[in-house]
Amino acid sequence: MKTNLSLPRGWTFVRQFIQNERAFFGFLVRFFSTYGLLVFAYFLYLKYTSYTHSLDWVTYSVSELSFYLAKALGVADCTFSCFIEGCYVGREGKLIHVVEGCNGFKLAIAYAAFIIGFSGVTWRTLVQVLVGLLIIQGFNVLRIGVLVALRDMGGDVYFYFIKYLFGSIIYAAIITLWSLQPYFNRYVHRQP
Amino acid sequence: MIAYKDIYRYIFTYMAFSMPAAMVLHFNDAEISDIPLLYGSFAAFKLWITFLLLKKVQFSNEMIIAVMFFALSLRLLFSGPWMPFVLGAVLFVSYKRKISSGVL
Repeated sequence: MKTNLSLPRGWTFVRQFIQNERAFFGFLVRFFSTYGLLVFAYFLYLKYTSYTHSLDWVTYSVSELSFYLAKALGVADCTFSCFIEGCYVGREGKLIHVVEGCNGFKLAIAYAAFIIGFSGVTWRTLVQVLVGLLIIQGFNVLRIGVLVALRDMGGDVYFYFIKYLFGSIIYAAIITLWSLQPYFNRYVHRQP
Repeated sequence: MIAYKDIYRYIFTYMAFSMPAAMVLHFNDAEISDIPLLYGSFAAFKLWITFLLLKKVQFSNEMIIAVMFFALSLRLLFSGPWMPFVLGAVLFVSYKRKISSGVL
């Protein structure tokens, strides 16, 4: 008897909680559906690249731009080569292996999902997503380019320290961009 | 409401807790399954500081459970970045609170 009563009571509590926090659950639904959709599309694209025995474009582009940045930072004899499993950037013997997980795309997808979760889908939020993606990828290119230069100078501990420091900076940049969202919304709603 | 410095402090602490296990994995050329205790301990620290952050922004216990549940689902189902999700939820709820209190 006790069990029969506690189950509906639990459900009532959950339903009431969802109703009280309706705005938050709306955000969750928009966030997860956007995230799931984009991850699925990216997964299909990765399957396609695996089928065609090619490297995904995002990893290739990030590696290529990091290569140019490392060269600009003074890495002598910097090389750049790509295979199906990823790219190698840097001087021979001190190469950085850039794989699909390093391209920052999952983080970019999370960024886009938050913007859409917060404001819904409009052409303005899509523009904002695109600008944000460029900023995130810019940080990622900077991160990998500097890592290539650091590995060239030597020092594994230093390399790891910078890797996590840069990770923190990327996260901080994303949170800063997200926190600007209400101001962005107010700005666009003032437009005629 | 939450101050930016608290958010940035949380991010840097979270990343600092990610470093030790990564260093051990790197120098011993090991896998996560080789150091489950160390990895699990630092994962628990990260969950603990997340809990403290959510308490600091005055989330109710139900809300903390909901945010942690969806954050860990994101991590386990999609291998997604769960920490930014938590911060996104904090920003969203803080914004809604500001609206309902007439600040915005």
